[in-house]
Amino acid sequence: MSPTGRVSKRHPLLSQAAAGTASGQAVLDAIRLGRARTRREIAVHTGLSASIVARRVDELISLGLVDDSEHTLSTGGRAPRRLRIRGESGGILAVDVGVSGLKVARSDMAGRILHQREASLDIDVEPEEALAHIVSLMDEVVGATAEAGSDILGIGMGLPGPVAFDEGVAVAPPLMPAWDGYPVRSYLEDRYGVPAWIDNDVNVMALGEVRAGGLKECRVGIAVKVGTGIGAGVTVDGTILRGAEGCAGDVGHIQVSEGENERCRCGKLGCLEALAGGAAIGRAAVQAAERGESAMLEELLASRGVLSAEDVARCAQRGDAACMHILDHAAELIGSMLATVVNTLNPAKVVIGGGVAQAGDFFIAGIRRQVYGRSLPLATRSLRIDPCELAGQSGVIGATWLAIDGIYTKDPSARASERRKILASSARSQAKGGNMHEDQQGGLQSGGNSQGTELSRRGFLKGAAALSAGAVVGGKMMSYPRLRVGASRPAATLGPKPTSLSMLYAGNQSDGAAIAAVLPMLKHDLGVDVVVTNLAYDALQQKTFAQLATSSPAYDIFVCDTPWTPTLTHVLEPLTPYLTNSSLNKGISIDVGDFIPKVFYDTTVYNVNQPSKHYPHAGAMVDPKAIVKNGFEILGLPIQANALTMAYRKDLFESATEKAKFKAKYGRELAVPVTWDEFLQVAQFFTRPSSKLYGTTLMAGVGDWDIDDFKTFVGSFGGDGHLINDQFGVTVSTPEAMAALQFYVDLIRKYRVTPPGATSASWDTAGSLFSSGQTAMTMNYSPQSLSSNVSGSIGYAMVPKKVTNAPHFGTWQLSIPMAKDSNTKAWAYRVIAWLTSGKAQTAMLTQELHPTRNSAFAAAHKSAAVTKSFGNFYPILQQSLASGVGRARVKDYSQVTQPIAVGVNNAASGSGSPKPDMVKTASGVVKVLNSLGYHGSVA
Amino acid sequence: MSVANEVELRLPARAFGRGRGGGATSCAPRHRARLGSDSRMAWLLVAPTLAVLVAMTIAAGVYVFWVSFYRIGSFGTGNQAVGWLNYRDAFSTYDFLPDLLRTVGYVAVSVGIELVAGIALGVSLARRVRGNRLAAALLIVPFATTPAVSALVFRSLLDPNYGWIDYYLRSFGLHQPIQWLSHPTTAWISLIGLDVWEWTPFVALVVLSGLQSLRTDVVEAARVDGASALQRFRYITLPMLTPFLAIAAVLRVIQSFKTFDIFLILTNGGPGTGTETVNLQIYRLVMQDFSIGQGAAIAVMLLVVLLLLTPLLLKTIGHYAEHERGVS
Repeated sequence: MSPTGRVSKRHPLLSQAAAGTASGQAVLDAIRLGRARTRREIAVHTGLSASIVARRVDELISLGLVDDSEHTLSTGGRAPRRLRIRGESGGILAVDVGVSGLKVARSDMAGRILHQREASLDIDVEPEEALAHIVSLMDEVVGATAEAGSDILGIGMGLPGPVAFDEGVAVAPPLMPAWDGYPVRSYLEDRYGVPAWIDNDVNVMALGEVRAGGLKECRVGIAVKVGTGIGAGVTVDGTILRGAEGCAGDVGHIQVSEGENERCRCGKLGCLEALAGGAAIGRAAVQAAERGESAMLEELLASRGVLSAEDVARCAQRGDAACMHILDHAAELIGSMLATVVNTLNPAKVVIGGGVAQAGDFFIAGIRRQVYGRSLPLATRSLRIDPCELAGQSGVIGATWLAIDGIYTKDPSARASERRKILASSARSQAKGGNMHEDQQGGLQSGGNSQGTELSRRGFLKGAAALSAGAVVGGKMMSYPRLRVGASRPAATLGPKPTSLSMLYAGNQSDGAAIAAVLPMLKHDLGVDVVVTNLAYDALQQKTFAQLATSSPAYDIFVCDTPWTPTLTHVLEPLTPYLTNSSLNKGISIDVGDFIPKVFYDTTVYNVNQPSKHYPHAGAMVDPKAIVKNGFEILGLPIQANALTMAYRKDLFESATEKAKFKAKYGRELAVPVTWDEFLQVAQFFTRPSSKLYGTTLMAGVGDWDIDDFKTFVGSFGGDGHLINDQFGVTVSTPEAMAALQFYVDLIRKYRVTPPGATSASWDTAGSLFSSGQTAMTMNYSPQSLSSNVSGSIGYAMVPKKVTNAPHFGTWQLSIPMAKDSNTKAWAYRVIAWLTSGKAQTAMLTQELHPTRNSAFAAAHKSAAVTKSFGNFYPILQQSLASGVGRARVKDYSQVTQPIAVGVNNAASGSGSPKPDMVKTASGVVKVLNSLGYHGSVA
Repeated sequence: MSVANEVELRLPARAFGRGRGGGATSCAPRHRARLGSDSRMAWLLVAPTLAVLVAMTIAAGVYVFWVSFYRIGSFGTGNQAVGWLNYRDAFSTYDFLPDLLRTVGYVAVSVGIELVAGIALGVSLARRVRGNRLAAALLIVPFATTPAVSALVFRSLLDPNYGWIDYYLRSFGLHQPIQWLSHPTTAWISLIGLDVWEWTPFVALVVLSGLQSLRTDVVEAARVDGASALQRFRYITLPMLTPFLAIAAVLRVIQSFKTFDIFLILTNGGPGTGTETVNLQIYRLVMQDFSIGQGAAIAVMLLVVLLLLTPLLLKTIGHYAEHERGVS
């Protein structure tokens, strides 16, 4: 650091407000480095909560650093706003100093070049003399862009020689020996009063390529410059890997040959640069000309007396065989060096720049030949080697970004104290948590984003960054990923059998009796005792959440309902490694292809970091490998699939007198309704309050049940039965939804085909009303029964439709807590794989299990015992699942959907039009979504 | 045990000192020392209670306050400090104010009815008549029943299709069934009715015990002076009962603010948000979605309301008592 009393290195506005916090930094970096373009993408990318992201973005916008006036393309729902850096918030002077030329550009904060000038320059003179030339051109550029309106905030410069980046000083540069130790940075800073950043030309080129050129999308990339010298810049996640002392990537001095004893200017023998660099090529060209191998070269040599690498490149392009041979040899040497580097770093792409690289494709081809031939197949599988995209412009663009990076990251002084804080907190969390390898993801994320730039500047590798930044305490903001104590990787093989496993299960909603019935069989097959605790719904949810929030859950297996899973994606064990490991599936027929795909994807398949996403290929047969390939995971195995089905009193529908009466009244046969119109007619027909009989039950009380009723109606009227789409558009007030609600409300209020109290009824009220013979039809989640004093029989049918059948469905899954030890998890996996197997599901049918496999449904259709107990329930359930609509995928499902439960109930129990209720509901849901950090909108 | 020894040793010394008649000076420092050890002893005796209090109440309270400034990511997503955001959201998104007003209204009405009815019940049971002792014992039944169970029973009783209440109303000539829980007014009547049924006996018992501890001579004197029964009650019994009523009122207000189970079971806040209360909202946020921070913020505000209300209540009742004393 130069001890001048100059202005802070950071952007003047960044010292203000919360943009100076770690989260502000992470958000800013995500935007300016193009890692995320919308608020939602930032949240996903940084792992910060969406509300924090929204706040930080708003701050950055109000500081004038970021702009969100542009909309991106909508993917359905409100188009999100595209965030970009406001270029006009400041200016940069970018200087690219070459051995013989100089480029100066004025750029804006978004990295765009506004004005550029070039001049020739002899670098091998006293630095004061050369710098005088440089600053005069800089002054020209400043003068020419005086009307740009924004202040110059920093200067970035690339020098053709080694630079100690932290000090801003050239160190023993072979091409400009007089510059050794000259404080270039403080010279510029003193002259312009703004901070400056100096780096060597290769790093600057690499930075240009990674931000605006060919290395843009690469996690690890290499930019090789083959000019007078040879050098390489290594980019990791958009930043330059500088190494401990700043000379990382100096590949020109790798020894490539023992035989050719050319002495390098660095003083050593056999360096790549000495054999394949510009000087060496020039020398070889002179020799070739002297030997008379090339007429073209002879001619040039005669006219100029000297030959450069560029001359060779030009002649080679024109087809001169000798030149091509010279370059081929150089390419071979460079390629063999690169092969080593590729093996070491496994880059996604290598770009080749510099004067010699202009020789064209065959030079690159020579390099490729060597690299592909010599490197590991895995390293070259998708490796690309291309010429530099920005060509001559990479220097100024890189220098621009050098300065922008410096301005937008923290002050060195602030950095030191922050680092202390990070280290202290990581020491704390290590003492607390012990095992840190789980949650590397979170650690890597925060390490990579909020601290990435600064850490790599200091030459830390990312793994180390993950450790030290695993728990970041920055400014006011506190955000550290939880350490999952005891969480472990899946076992590759099965360890000793645990004496028993404990399982938390739902008593009535997902039928604990069925599980209890097959436990002896499970014990026989797997030799493991499973102790099941059954709880009612609310208590189950509380217990499940409370247990999964601890680092050592008391249960080895949990049953989860669909609305819970989005909240739990980080604590449920991903099952793909288990499903694909045959040693864990011994004795169990896992056959994932047998699961009903729709049920499987809706229930268990999640993108762990974006739990609101639905799996894109929900029709495809279940294939764990494809799921992982698409970025999703399997978080459980489905055990009990519930769908809304209609039950009706068969005795009434088949009664001769009723049939006659119905025909007399409506002129058509009495039949089980298929459409809502028929449903209404039949319901009105059976509504006889004086004899305590009504058409149907509806469960319009405030709760999940009125939401399920409503979403079924909305879907059947052609609306989106999820009620909230994947883009967080709330679809409860669309025309289809309004029509559906109007019909639903009319059933209760206008046609009065429901027993009194429908607006305070839940699913169990509906069940008991139907059971006690008070309604002719009902819609519920499970097979119904009639109490002993009602003599009758029950038939099942799909819930009617307006335009399509869209009954609500939701499935329970069996999951394993991530925090258990690997052997327990392996055995727990075996238990849930067995319990969800075709064999077990078939065995549980008579206990009312609602299967999730096609084979179990097939067995149900064949079994006389099942048909005897449940009539045609199973065929109807299977049909309903096939056309069913699941739930919206949101965290905190109860909060988000509470306004819907209230709105539907209000509409049903009010007296006016339901429209205002739904408009209010939609905005209420959006409010909750926004408070949870989603960007909700009314669809 | 060292303290016990000290006491044993000291007693004869003091007796001896006093016996000598010149102990004043020699006793003084020893007395002071004893005070010191007494206070240490006091702390020692209080310590277990204090420890339990700190662990179970104070620490938990501080934690709730702390948590209310965070979004707690219990499931691997990390905690985030959000400043006052949870409080802001409580008002803008989670309808804290309407919920609070409804809660306060419910408390005021139900506790008011319970106090009046409790006094009436207590006074009538205070007469030493045969049967009253049995009645007083039976009073315990409603509030000894688990509220959740009472609520479930009430729900069945109120059912418009097979509930007893409707059945009997119909035998009195009612034609349309009353959908008790489907309209805000009747839903409130049901809720308050349940609460009054459950808690009036509690107030009555407090009043009863108060009446039994009162001195009867003042009432006797008034009677001799020719005061009517109403006057005796209004100007003598009631003022003397005020401290007991204060206890009953404060306890009931605090309990009533915490009422949750009967709301969940009877109405779940419905119809619409007609009977939605702060507690239901907290329950949904914390127990169903584990939005601990958001729930804590609302809980903290409810606590503040309660803390402000209790002294106010005590002061009002105290003022009333003072006033009465002045008049009589």
